[in-house]
Amino acid sequence: MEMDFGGAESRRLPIYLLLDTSGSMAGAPIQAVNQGVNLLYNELMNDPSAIETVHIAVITFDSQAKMVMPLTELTQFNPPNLNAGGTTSLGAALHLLGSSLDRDIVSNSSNRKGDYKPLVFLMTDGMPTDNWEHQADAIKNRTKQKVATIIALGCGGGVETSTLKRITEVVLMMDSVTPDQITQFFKWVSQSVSTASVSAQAAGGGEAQAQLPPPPTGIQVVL
Amino acid sequence: MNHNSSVQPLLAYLVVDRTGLIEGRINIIQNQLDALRTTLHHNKVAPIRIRLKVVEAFAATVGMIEPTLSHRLQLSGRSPGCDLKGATREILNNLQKALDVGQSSKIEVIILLAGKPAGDWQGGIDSLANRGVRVSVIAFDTEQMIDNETLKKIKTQDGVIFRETRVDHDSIEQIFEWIAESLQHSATSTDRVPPAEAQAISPSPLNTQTTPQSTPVPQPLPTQSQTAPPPQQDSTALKTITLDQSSQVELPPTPEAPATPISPETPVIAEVAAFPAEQVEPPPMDVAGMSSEEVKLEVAIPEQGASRIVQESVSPPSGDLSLNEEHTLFKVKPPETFPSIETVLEMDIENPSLKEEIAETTIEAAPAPLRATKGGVATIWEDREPIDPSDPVPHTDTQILNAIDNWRIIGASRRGKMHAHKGIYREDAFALDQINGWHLMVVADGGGSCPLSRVGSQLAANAAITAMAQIIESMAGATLPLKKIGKIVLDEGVEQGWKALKTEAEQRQVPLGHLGTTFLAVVHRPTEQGSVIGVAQVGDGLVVAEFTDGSIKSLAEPDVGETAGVTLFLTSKPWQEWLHRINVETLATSPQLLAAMCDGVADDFIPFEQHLPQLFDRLKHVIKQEQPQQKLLELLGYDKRGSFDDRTLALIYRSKAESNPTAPEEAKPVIEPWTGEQTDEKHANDTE
Repeated sequence: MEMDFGGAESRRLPIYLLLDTSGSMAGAPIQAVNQGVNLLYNELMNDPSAIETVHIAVITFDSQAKMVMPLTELTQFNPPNLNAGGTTSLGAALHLLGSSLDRDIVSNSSNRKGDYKPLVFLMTDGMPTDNWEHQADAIKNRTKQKVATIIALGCGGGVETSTLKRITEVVLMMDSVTPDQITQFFKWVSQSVSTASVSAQAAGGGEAQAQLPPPPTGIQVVL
Repeated sequence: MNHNSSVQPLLAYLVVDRTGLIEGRINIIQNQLDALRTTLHHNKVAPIRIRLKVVEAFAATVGMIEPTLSHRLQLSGRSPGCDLKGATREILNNLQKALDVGQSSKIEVIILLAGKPAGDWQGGIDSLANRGVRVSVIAFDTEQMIDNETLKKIKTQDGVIFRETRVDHDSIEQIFEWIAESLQHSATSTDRVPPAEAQAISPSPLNTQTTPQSTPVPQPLPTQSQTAPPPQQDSTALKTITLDQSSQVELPPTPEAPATPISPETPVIAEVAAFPAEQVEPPPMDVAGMSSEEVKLEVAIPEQGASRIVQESVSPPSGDLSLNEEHTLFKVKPPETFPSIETVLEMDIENPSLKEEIAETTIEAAPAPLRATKGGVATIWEDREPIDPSDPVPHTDTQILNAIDNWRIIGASRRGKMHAHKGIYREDAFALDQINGWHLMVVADGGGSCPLSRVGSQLAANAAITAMAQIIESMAGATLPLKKIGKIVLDEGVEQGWKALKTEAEQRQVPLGHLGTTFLAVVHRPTEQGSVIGVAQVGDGLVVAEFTDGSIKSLAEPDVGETAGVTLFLTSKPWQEWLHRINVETLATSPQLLAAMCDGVADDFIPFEQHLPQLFDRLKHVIKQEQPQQKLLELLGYDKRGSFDDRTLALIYRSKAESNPTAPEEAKPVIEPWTGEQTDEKHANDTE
């Protein structure tokens, strides 16, 4: 006996990738990021729960912030080819993230179960060059509406952890910015997403929703 | 020092300036780094263990690597100079982590400067020095890029041992020889090497031309040493060892050098900081996996300051520390003042499969499947048997009960796709009973984040149903109103369901939360005119009734947070806290179907106005079949995108109702809100 749900919207697990494409990422790092996004896509496409729930958006920031991929369901996702150059407009990226969350995310309501709590992975290798403080505070102070779990990764020593801490409490630091480390990070992102897609759907609801697997070697959690 | 104490691993950080200033010397530095690693690795003189980390500092960034032979230094630009600030910050971060896990307490930082550092580098060195870290700065400044002012700053920096050399390539070898010997000396300086031997092999290169010590020890701290008091602290006792290019090498100094100050009797003691005794635990020891040459000391680290903690007087053990039988390992509980990583980032450390994935070295993902979905549903779901043999739960469960007046209670539960794919047991449960005209059903949805949720859900459902049936029986003949009885019965169900979990948790010696489960209990008692229906609900799930006019009424308000996937468990609060959530109502007509379901089913029919009628149509079809409980189980196997939870539904109905079993087509379904005394509950996670 088949049920007909008439194309009812199913709940989504929104994933936002905020990727630093400033000049310092040029060369091997940006290539590794491109490969990393591909890896993430392939990993998730082998996870049935991710296939059914994950939607990915990609926001890059260099001299300006761009939504290079709006929130797209995983099966339709086409990993972008990113190039690096310019400054580090983190503030603009956070602003774009905020407006995207407001626009994209469906909250729970009396007659609709909304999206799962979005996961945002922010990756940057340098200090912001724009006015980012206000945007950081705005994102971090979201407590009521359209809240997202933000994980910030600082690549190398060019990033002040205090900057990232102003955005989120979950800050990771990558010791050495090598292609392998970047790849490992995206592997970890895919594990985090899979974990989230499982626990969000888990029986009885997911109190463990924000649980993340331990980060790979060489990436440290900043206390 | 003359004792067979354990050796404390030395954590050594080597900061290598790899700005363009070392161009032309990068290969020799690389070779020397490799040689240093080999030397330290093969040190057989004394059982020491040096953890060497190389921090490369250059213009823009800092990386920390374990020096491996495969690692190659890379040259960066010449300006603005090496990022010494970043390097020290990196070291501090890494250090903090090492200390957090109780790894090491002897720390040595050696900085190789090829030119003037960029930016504000002094703060970082201050921080290191303030932690009692011995910092040596070696300037091999062939191009004389370090101006006098900077030199002076470095030289006068508190806690820094400074060596300056404007050297040619050959001298780089000497620098590394010195580093090797210095590190080995530091590693052995407080260990079981007999003094004479230690002297012979450890020329104390740091101290040849200067007063014995310059390493500040955080004050105030008691010294543990019984053999020698710490010498006067003198953080200004900086040393400058100038190697000019013609120098016939004072590096490293020979053992005959007039002063061998880090001798057992004197200055090393200055580096000894005692632990607060209460932070030290006696053995048990664990030497498993430790080779005889790997000697490890895990020490308690006081909260602030004393990062140089050296085990000093061990023979006999002072009581603060003890040796294990093989005299090789101390195991001391790390202090709780250091937050663990887990408290900051909740990590799923209990999931072994994740750990295995992390441990994997392969990073290649399988290619994405060509046809990933069919009708929006993934095609790659698999059905796996659980490996874990404990507390097994059958993948499906069905039950049917016949009550008087043709009433029936049926239930079915099936493992969801996610659990099947991951080889995990079903975590939903249900239980049914009927007695004295009462119909009882409980559905429970074990929390996915709770290790024993499958036990919790089964236990809560069964205990509650048993208790409810018993109290109904005990009240037979009582003249209480049915509504009142319903409330008493549900109170009893909640209490006994909760207590069963509590007892189980105590028996298993696990936290109550491990048995977390939602809880949805329904009592139904048909009367002459209508029905008394009571509901106790903790967590999500749905209780709905369909009446003969086709209207559908929701009988409880589930806990739903703003974001999906947030709920409450029976174990979240003491049982008394749930009693006010119980509601019993008297209805003028009996429902023709009364359904209780877990969110694995209910969520698929949101919005209810739109989709619940379809479910009830199917249910009405099911109950007309033979073996309706089996048909119900089959029904619960429907496919829906994004729906892979366990599914459980229990149903009370009258199998031969007087009315037309098919609801009139024209009847518009109406969802009426539950108008009872339901109060809003805070959600467990709504503070996120």
